[in-house]
Formats: sequence, C-alpha cells, structure tokens
Amino acid sequence: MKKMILSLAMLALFSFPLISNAQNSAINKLYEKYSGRDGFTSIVINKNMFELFSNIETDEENKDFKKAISGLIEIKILASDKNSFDGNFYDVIMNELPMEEYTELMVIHSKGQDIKFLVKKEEDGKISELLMISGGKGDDNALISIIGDIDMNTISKLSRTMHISGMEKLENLDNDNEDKDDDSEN
Amino acid sequence: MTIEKFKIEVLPIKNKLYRLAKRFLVSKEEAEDTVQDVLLRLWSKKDNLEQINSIEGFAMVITKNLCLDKLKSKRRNTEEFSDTALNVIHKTPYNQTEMADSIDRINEIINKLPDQQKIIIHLRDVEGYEFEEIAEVTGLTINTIRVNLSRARKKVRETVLKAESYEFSRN
Amino acid sequence: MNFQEIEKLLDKYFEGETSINEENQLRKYFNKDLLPPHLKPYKVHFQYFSDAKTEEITDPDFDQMILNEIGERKLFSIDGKRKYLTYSLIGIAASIIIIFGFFFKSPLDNLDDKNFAFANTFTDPEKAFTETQRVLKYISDKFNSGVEPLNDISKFDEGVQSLTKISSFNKGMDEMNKISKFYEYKQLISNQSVDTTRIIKNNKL
Repeated sequence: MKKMILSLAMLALFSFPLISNAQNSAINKLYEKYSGRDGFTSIVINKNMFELFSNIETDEENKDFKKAISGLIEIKILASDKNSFDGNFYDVIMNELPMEEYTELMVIHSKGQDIKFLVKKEEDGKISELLMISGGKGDDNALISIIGDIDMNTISKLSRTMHISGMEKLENLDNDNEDKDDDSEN
Repeated sequence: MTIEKFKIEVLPIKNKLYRLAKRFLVSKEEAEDTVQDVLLRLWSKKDNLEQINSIEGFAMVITKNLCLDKLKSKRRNTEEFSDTALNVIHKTPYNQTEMADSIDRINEIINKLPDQQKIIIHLRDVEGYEFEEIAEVTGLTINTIRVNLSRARKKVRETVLKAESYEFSRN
Repeated sequence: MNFQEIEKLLDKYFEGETSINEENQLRKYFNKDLLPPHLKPYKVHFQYFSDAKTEEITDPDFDQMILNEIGERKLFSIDGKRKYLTYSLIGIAASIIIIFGFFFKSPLDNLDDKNFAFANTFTDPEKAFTETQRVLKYISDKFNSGVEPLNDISKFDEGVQSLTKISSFNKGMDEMNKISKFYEYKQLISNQSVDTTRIIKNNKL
C-alpha cells in the first residue's frame, strides 16, 4: 500500500504544470494586462497565419521577408498612445520583465525615445526570442515580442530591401486598428 | 497475468495453501492470513507467473517458508517451546463417530512431528502429491522423502495403536 | 482384495514405498465398514487423511477480499466482523493523471501550433501579411539605426548576433534618426499620388 501511495504521489508531482517555458508567462501576463485597456493596441500574429502568407503574391524583393518569417512562431505587439499612459511605458515593462531570462542586445537612447533590444538565446547560440521595447515622449511606445528561430541578419536586411506593398494599405491598417480599439472598449 | 486469469488459475489453490499453513500454524485465523499473504505475493509477481511450470508448487513453497518464518519468530518469543501453546486441539465437523478422539490425536501427533516429516506426510497423505512434487516444494531428494514419510507414518501408527492397545508387528 | 494382500501393502506403506495408486487402494479398502479385527485400527489412520483433505477456508468473502486488494472494484460488507470497502487504486491514479494531464506542458508545447496563448488578431491573411511586414521593417530599421554608426568603427557582417551591450549613443544618433525619418517621409510622399512638382510650381507662383 505504501508503495502505491508513494508512486501515486510521484505521478501527481510529475504531472504538475511546468510554468517556466519558452514563451514566458511574464510577457503574456503583460500582454493580457494591457491589451484590453483604453489607448492600447495589441496585435498577435502567429505561425498559423504565417503559413497562409504563401498564398499571397509578393515581389521578388520580398525574398528576405519570407526568409525572416520562415522560422517565426509568433509576433506580439503591444503599443500605447502617447497620451494614454502616465509615465513611461518603457519603465513599466522593464520592471515587469524577468531580466535574468534575457540578454541585452542593444540600447538606443535618443531624444525623447529609448529603445532596448533583448534576446533569449538557446544553447546552440540561436535566438529564440527577441524583444524590442520602445518608450518615451514620442508616440512610439511599444513592446514587440518575436518568438521563433530568429535570424537577426536577415531581419536587419529588411529595412533596406523590403518593399512594403502600398503605404495606403498601411494607412487603412491604422484605421482598422483604431476600429479595433473602439471594439476593445466595449 | 490479468485479474481474470488470476481468479481462474491462482485463487482456486487457496485451500491447499490453507491446509498446509494450518498444518504448521494450527490456528485457523493465522492460516487464513498466511494464505492471503501468499496470494498477494503471487499477484505481485504476476508478470512472471505465466512462465512458472507449477504455480501451485511455487505457491506451496512460499507458504511453507512463510509459515516456518512465523514459527521461528514465535519460538524466539516464547521462552519454551510449549506444546500446548502451539497445538490447539480443535474438533472438525467430521468427527462424529467414536473415532473423534482418535482423529484429534492423529492431528495432534502430526502437528508435533519435526518440520520435514510433517510437511512430507501432509503433502503425500493429505494432498496426494507425487514424490517429485514433494521434492519441488521441499527441495529434498526422493530418498530422503521416502525415509521421512516412513518415519512419519509409523509415528502415526504408534499413536493409533497405543490408543487401541492393539499389538502389531513393527519393522 | 484379500487381507493378506492388504497386509503386504500396508507394510510397504509404512516403509514409504507404495505408489499413489496403491495408497488409493488402501484408502478404498479401509473405507469399508466391515473389516477384519486386526486391521480395524488402521481405519482411523486412513480416515484421518481423507477428512483432512476436505478442510477449507470458511470465510465466504475471502476471494473477494483478495480481489479487492488486487484492485478489482467492488463494494460489499460482511457479517460485521470485517467491513471491506476498496476503490480501485489504479482507477484513482488514472483520474489524477487525466486531471493533471491537462496542465502538463513541456517547454516546447507553447511553441506548438495548436497551443498559442493568444489568438490571431487578423482574420485576413493579407492584412496580417502587411502588418507583419511593417513590424519587421520597423524592428529592422530601429535595429539598424543602432548598428550602422558602428559600421564605420569596425566591420560587421554576420557578427550582428554577437553584439553585446552598446551603451547610449550621442548626438550622432539624433542625426541618424533625422535621416531615417526623412527617408520614411520620402517614401510616404512618393507613394501618395501627390504631384509635388505642381506644389512647387504653385509655390513659385
């Protein structure tokens, strides 16, 4: 009997949730906390959606883009309006991040804006998560999280080579996001 | 081995195990407890059971060993090896004739036999085991078994004849 | 069988040399009621062993008790001496595993397609596509804005990944920002169907 109880207990113990996993709950918590609030925009695009991109017609120039996406699993964006947040969004995020889990890649201080790049590296040196936190008086207050197989090389090429198909589309997007904000206020 | 198989193949052995256990331990309750013990041990080895040639033989060995262990610890605990403590005279429901006393006497005398003789005469004359089967359970040679069987049977005869006061030729 | 033969068998018997068969014969013989007087005493001898064979466990619930212990599920009560109630321990273990199984996640689970914490914001792949482009470009731009000034200092190619802490940049950065913002603006303008030449012309007017 004792043996059975002991092995039962062990069984239950091993079945318990492994909370600390690759997609950290800290980022998710932050996201959950703020995404519904006024003045915040939250966007999630994950692999399920990435896979649909192959159906979309693109120019040759977007080869790099496709390459960058190929290893990605999820992109999360949390952005705030400059007026909706008291203080510095940047500071808030930095407080809530489990800094031990990340390596600081780059910090850019410029007038009115701070940008920090953080990465999570795997044992083989590959980057499994990229965080970009920007905050300041400008309207670029954002937390962007990218999970997956991240190739910084390819990504850095994007700014030069990527041709965004039609800025007007982006403007429409902004309008959509505003609509979404309205929705999220409900 | 599944529970179903265990039910069909192992559980039915229980009475043989019981009789053997009672032969050593005399007490009904202790014998039943021992059998329970043995059956659970058998179940704990259920994965190997199907490979054993004779599950019954195996079970009997376990029973024997358990009983001997219990007796050893009893003997350690009691200062003297007391006949009366270990040999309880009980009446079976079958003793309804004038043989009642004799039957009890035989039971008593067998229970007092040395362990080897006891188990051999029990396995042979109560359970009807062949010498090979007895050898399997006791680990003794067939010659040794024969010799002990003879001694045991003669002892029983002695008791019976004493009671009957009947003289008979002995070897 | 006459009693002489029986006597012979008996002798053999007490020497331990009879076969099971012969012993059965003896048993059968001594079961008779009518026996020669000098053999009568042996009746009880064989009687005893026949009786002893019939002895059995008296507890009617013995079997079930064992099966319960083993894990067969059953509920029953007996004569008051022993109330025995056991639930299948295996069953309990199984349900515990199932319940906790829902929480069990390997570190890789969250990277699994089916296991995202949040749903896609866009339902239209084209919108998602564009936004993904925008985000990646944004990151790329910002990242490069930090990296490019260093290109003059040292050579960077694949070494971008081994970039460690770079502390604050100074006024040079402001310049860079101004320049990149200029390029953004320029792109914005060029994509809009605005006839800049006409504006200039108008200004001149």
